Amino acid sequence: MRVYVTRRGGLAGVALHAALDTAQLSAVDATRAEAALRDLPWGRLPTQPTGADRFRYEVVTAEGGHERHVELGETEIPDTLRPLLELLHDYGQIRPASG
Amino acid sequence: MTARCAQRCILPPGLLHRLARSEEAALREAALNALALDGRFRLARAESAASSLRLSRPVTFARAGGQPQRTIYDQQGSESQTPGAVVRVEGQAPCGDQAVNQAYDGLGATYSFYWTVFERDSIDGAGMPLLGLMHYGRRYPNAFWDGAGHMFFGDGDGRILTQTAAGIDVIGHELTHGVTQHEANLTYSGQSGALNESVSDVFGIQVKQHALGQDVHSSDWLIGADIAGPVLRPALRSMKQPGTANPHDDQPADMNDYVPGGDVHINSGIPNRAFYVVATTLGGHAWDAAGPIWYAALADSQLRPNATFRDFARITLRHAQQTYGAASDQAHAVQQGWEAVKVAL
Repeated sequence: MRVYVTRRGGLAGVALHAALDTAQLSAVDATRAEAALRDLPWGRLPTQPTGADRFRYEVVTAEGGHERHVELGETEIPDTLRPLLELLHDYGQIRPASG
Repeated sequence: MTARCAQRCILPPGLLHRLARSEEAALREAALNALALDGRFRLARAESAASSLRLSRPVTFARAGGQPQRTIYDQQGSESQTPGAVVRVEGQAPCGDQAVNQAYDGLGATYSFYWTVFERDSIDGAGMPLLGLMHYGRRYPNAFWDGAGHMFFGDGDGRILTQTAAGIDVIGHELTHGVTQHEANLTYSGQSGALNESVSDVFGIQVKQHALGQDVHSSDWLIGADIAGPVLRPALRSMKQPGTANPHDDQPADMNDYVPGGDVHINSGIPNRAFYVVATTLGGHAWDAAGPIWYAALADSQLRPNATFRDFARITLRHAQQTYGAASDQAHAVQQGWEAVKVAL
C-alpha cells in the first residue's frame, strides 16, 4: 500500500516528507501496518495539540484512486505504524515548512 | 519619602472616618490626611490591577523562592508520557549521564535567570517543580513541553538534531513554554502560536546569554546552535537574520513575507527579529530593558490567548512608555523594533 507521510512541527520546525510503501517493510510488519492504516480516523478534523513543540503527522493514502487524508498527533500513532515512521526518519526529505 | 507611615495604611477606612469626626483638631486632621492618602493608594492599586496584573495569580506563603526543585528522569528510550526512573534530584552531585547533567544544569540556569531578573519563582511563579525527562524515544530528534509540567528531551537522530539537552537555549525555550502557558496561554496556531514560539526563543536566548555573560553584541542570536545536526547546521533559527540559520531555514524576517497558515516555528522569525532590534538598539544586556518589557507584556492581563503580533507589539510599547517614559530611549527602541519587521503599531 502506498502511503505519503509528512512530519511537521517539533522544536526545529522542519517538515520531513516521504513517499513510502508498506512493501518496504517485512511481511509481518507490512500486514500490521496495513491493518493500522485501515483503522486510522480518516477525514477527521485536526485536533488542537497540547503543550508545545510536538510532532504532528499527516498521512495520505490513494488506494484505488480514492485519496484519504488524516493529521495525527504523535501520541495518536499506533505502535504498529512505527516501522513505517522509521522509514520516514531514515529516508524522508526535508520540505520547506512554509509550503 | 516623608509621608511613609505603615500605620496609616493598615487602619480600616471605617475607623478613619470615625476619627475624622473627632472633636480633637489634631486627631481630626491626621485622620483626614490618612483618608486622602489611603484613597490614593486604593485607586493606584485598582488601576495597577486593571492594567497589568493577572488577578488569578495564586498567593503562596510557604516558599521564599530562589531555589529550584529539579528532578531528572530517564525514559530509557520509551515514548511513555509518564516519568520513568529518577536519576538525579535537587542537590545531588552529577551522575555519569551527560544528558542528565546538562538538563539539571540548564534547568538550574533557566530558573536562575527568571528568578534574578524577574523574581519569578519557577514556571508558575509559585515554585513549581522542574521535571526533565531524558532519553525520550529512540533517536528522537526533538524536545517538547507536554503542557502538564514535563519537559521531554530526545537524544536526536544525528541527522536533523543531536542530543537536545546540550542546548541551554533549548532548555530555556521549553521551560518558557510552561511560563507562557501560565501567563497569556497563547493559542498554538496562527499569529498567537508564532508569538508563543517567539517568546520561547526570546527568553531561551536570554538564558544562554545570561549563563555565558554575553551582552547583545557578543551573542550570536542563534537558536539551537549546540544541537543542530549536519542537515541543519549551523543553527535552527537566527533571531538576527531570520531565514539564514541553515540551508532549509525559510523564516520570514518581516510582515511582507508573512506565511499565512505557516507553522508556528516559521512566522516566529518576525517577532524574534523585533526583539533583536530592540535589544541591540539599546545595547548592554538583553535583560536590562528589552527582556523586562517583553516579560511585562507576556504577563499583562490584556494579552489574550488569541493575540496577534500587533496586539503584542502595542502592549510592549505601552510597558516601555509606562516604565521608562513616553519619550525614553526604551520606548523609541520598541517602536524601531516593530517598524523594522513592518508590524504597524
